Amino acid sequence: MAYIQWDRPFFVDPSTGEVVLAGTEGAVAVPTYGNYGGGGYSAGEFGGAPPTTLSGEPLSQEQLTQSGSGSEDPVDDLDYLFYLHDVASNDVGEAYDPE
Amino acid sequence: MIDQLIDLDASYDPEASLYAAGATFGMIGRLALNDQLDVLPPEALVAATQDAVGDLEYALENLPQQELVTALGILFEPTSEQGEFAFDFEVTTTSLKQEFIEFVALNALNDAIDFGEADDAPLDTGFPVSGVSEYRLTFNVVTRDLDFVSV
Repeated sequence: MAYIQWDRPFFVDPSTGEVVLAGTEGAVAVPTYGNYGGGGYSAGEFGGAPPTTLSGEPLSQEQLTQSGSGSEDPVDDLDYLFYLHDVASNDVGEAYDPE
Repeated sequence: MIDQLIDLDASYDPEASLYAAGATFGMIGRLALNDQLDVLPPEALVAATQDAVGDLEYALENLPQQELVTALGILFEPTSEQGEFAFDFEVTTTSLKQEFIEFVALNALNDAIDFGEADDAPLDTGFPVSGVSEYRLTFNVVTRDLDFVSV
């Protein structure tokens, strides 16, 4: 298994720990993981939104795997933890319509 | 999130272990940088540190050679010792409370890494005097041994 994406990094300001834009002076590149691990990285893309229930609650790992496209599937248990963190960090996620 | 990372057994995959360790250290580091380390109870800080060290050791011992080289190249710097890579960092404290948290957390890290080894030695964090303390985490690719010292 190779879920660390060394060539798809996000960037962190080492003096504050905040996620910053690529090209920011002094920023440190940190690789992303799976589809949800990384600052500003969710559902397999930068700026992506994690799918949720209609009420904004997180989906179970099984629901998420069954409902989403490949980029919305958590690749493993660790990636699912990052998904839960993404949902908790987002005020509004992309609603998942089971119909 | 830190509690969930502690509960997660990432030993199913060395890469997952490496990333879990990095995520935990990253969150602790971000709290420290923003002077918010005291939001974590000391026992949670110790548990998180020990869990992250366990994940890091598992990863470094089990990553395939090519990925180990990639990881070391990004996370560590080569030293003058053959096969040894290091990660240097410093901790700045401005109060006795912060100094105590540094003492607890970094000694937990030291215990987790070096306990029972020939090079096990108490860590000098400068406690109780606040200020800047410098530390070095080293990894030897030949022996695959991880060490932690104050410098």
